[in-house]
Amino acid sequence: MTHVCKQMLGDQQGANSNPRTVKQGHRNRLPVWLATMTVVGLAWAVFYVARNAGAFSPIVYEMGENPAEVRARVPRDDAMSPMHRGRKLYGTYCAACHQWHGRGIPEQFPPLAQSEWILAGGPNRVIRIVLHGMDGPVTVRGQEYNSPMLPWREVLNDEEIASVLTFVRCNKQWNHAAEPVTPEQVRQIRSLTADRASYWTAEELNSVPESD
Amino acid sequence: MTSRYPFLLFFALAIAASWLVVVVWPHLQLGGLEPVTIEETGVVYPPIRSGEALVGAEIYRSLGCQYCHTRQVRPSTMGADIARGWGRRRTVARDYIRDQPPMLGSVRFGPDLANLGCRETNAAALLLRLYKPSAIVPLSTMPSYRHLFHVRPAPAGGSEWRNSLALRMNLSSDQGSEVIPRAEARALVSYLLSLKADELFLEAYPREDLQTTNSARGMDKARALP
Repeated sequence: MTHVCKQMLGDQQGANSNPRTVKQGHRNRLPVWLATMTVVGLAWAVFYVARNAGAFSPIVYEMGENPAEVRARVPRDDAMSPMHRGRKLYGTYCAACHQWHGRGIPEQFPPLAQSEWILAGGPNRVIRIVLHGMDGPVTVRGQEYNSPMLPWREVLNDEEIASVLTFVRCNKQWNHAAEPVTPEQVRQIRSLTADRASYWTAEELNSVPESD
Repeated sequence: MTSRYPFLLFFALAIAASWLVVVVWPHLQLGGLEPVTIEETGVVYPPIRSGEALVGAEIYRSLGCQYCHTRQVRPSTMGADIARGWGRRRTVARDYIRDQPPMLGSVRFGPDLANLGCRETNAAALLLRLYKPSAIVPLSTMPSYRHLFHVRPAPAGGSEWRNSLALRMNLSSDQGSEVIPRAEARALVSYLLSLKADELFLEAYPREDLQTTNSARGMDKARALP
């Protein structure tokens, strides 16, 4: 083996007698700059992964977040908040027709999710609808509906109507972020319309200003 | 380097490394995902599809719908999917846990279908789209799937088929004949109507600053679309 090597070296030296000869042993040395770059690169990779991999949790999708931050994002409401009460009331009185998903039933019950009636500038019209019900043709999101909605003025008090309308107008599940409704607003409209005995129609409501 | 053992060793290492990173690691990360119960509604998400929709999934697969239609909504920071109204949130791994196989698709010649069941609730419109895509979108490049339909002369007294397309839609080239969807078409449509990835739960809640980005990009306009 050594004999062969020597012979090869000898040949090489003989062939490379010009100034560009490669130095012996050159290949065995790792240049300092390359070693430094490798270590720095590896350290950066470890740092990057540790910082941005979200602890490899299946619930983390945004860069740089950790599972605790994702859990903190889930909206929670306390038992006394209008949203919480409104959600319960919605399930009792509204979801049968308008459905939990708020999309209603095609050609029968209009949607509340993304409905221009719900997301109006003020709650003046929706409060009236909940108090006295609604009948006759109504257009919601470009679709026409014609089925009566019952009046709830005898069933729900001002606070309950305000809660359920707040839930409907601020429901994050439906991408809603309108102004909440206060019991005071419901009280005012209830007294304004105290002598009304019939359902509202879309035409009548359109003449009511959206907000005060 | 006369020995072949180093080669075999590195060959095995390369295979093992990719298997660990591409198969084992994702399985450890995502394989334990389970359906969630949506707190407000008590709905289990993702829902179990009906039998007809499961048959439809196989037809979707056999027709190769996934070669032109994706079923994944990108986050609002990566592309305009949400602004276009293709979904109100990005899709997450949990959306696909009941799909076998998950047909995410990789190329979009047609629109994304992750939330088709939210946009379109009318089975007849989807059947018409399958029968004659150009009847709804004149410049559509989608092929016609006429082989999913019976076409025959309409009986004199009118068709007794409620689903007959010719009676309900104006198809100028098919006057006088009735178009009846076969079982395959009905199953496929029932699968398409079941495509919904819009429930919000743990990891699906969008980050607040991302929502702000959406409204800045005119997502409200997109929502107004039918």
